[in-house]
Amino acid sequence: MGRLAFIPLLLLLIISCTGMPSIRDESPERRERILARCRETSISRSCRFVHSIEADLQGNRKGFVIGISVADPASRTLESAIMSLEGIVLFQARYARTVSVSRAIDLFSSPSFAQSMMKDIALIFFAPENPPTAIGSSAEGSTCRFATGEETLDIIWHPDGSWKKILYRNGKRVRSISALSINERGFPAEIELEARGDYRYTLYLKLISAEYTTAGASAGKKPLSNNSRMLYSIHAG
Amino acid sequence: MITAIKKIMVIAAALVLVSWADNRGDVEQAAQKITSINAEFTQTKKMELLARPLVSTGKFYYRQPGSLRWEYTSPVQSVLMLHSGSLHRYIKTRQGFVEDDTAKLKSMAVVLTEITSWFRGTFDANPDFEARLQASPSKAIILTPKSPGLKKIISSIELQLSDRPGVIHRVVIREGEKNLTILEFRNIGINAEIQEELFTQL
Repeated sequence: MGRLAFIPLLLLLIISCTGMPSIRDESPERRERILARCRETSISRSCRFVHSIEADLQGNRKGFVIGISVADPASRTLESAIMSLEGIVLFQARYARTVSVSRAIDLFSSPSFAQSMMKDIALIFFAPENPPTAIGSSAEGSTCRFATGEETLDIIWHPDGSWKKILYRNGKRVRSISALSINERGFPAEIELEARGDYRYTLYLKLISAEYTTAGASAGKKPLSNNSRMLYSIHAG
Repeated sequence: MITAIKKIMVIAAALVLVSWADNRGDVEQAAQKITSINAEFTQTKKMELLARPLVSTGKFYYRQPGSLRWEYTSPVQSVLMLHSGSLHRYIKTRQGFVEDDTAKLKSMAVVLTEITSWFRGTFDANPDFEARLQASPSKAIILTPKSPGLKKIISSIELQLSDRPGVIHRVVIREGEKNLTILEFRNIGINAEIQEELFTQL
């Protein structure tokens, strides 16, 4: 009987580890400081990033590619490419509310991959569109919470400059992004993304180069929909 | 199989070229004297999305009939080995070298199998490509994919021939109008003894 009584406690512990943590309120001054730091976790100007990407995929498979992303927070547009180490472009797409795919070969040709990848990149680089619904401290650290519909995003920053973004869907954690180290220019030198749900994977991104771009050189420069080479377009959801 | 058009082009090229690369037969004959090649290379990736080209460096070893070690030293350390028809790629990670499953991608296998064919001086072994000899602006073998599937990946591959018999010193892989990869070879060693371990071990 004593052992049976332990089961609800264990379940509660499991739920508390995977569900959304509660946020403890802070003073207005402290909330302002937390919000300012949360904003720093997303880019404020158009940037171009080149990363080496290590993917741990379902079925104990590993993959290595190079990722290029040009992200413009003002227009919330992204243009991204994945290429092999040998320089062959395996996937290229643009994200501007809809995902427009211009090149997709081999394992990268599924529309769900395109949609998921572009949403992941947007989550890494862009700030939420809506204001926070809660600011304070959680078990994870100083937290800004952005709840919209079925999705809730927690942005957590730590005193050493590292940060974490956790996306919940219907209360379940579906994405976790950790900036493991921040370089002297303020860009994360290493990022780890963990996807949970129907298709689980982990991506480890190591920064090769990062630079600010002019707005005209950003992904918003020209609409890909006018490009005759576009393969398909899907709504980002 | 060489088509009639290609034969005409080879003959036309032979009339204007005066060096070792006088015709496809000369190119192939010179390459067949090669038993091994090793070189350092610089790979320059150019595409519209990149403001500056992405430069990778490394070295490679090739031994007849089809063994290849293609090793990147920067920016990502990796070793790709093709030996006895088996392709493996290992990448340096936080946990040391680990095998990459994407090395089995069809596109990768196509390019690497082609590279070993070129070193053998065989430019039309793959029925998916049409090969022609270009006389100017530089002597080159131009490979153009024939199959619609491959055309989606590669528009053309240009093998620029060195003045040194049997040696390709530059490869340009075009994937689209503004998307290309340039491989440039230097410190090229020919017919040196290369141990088998280089194609089977890290």
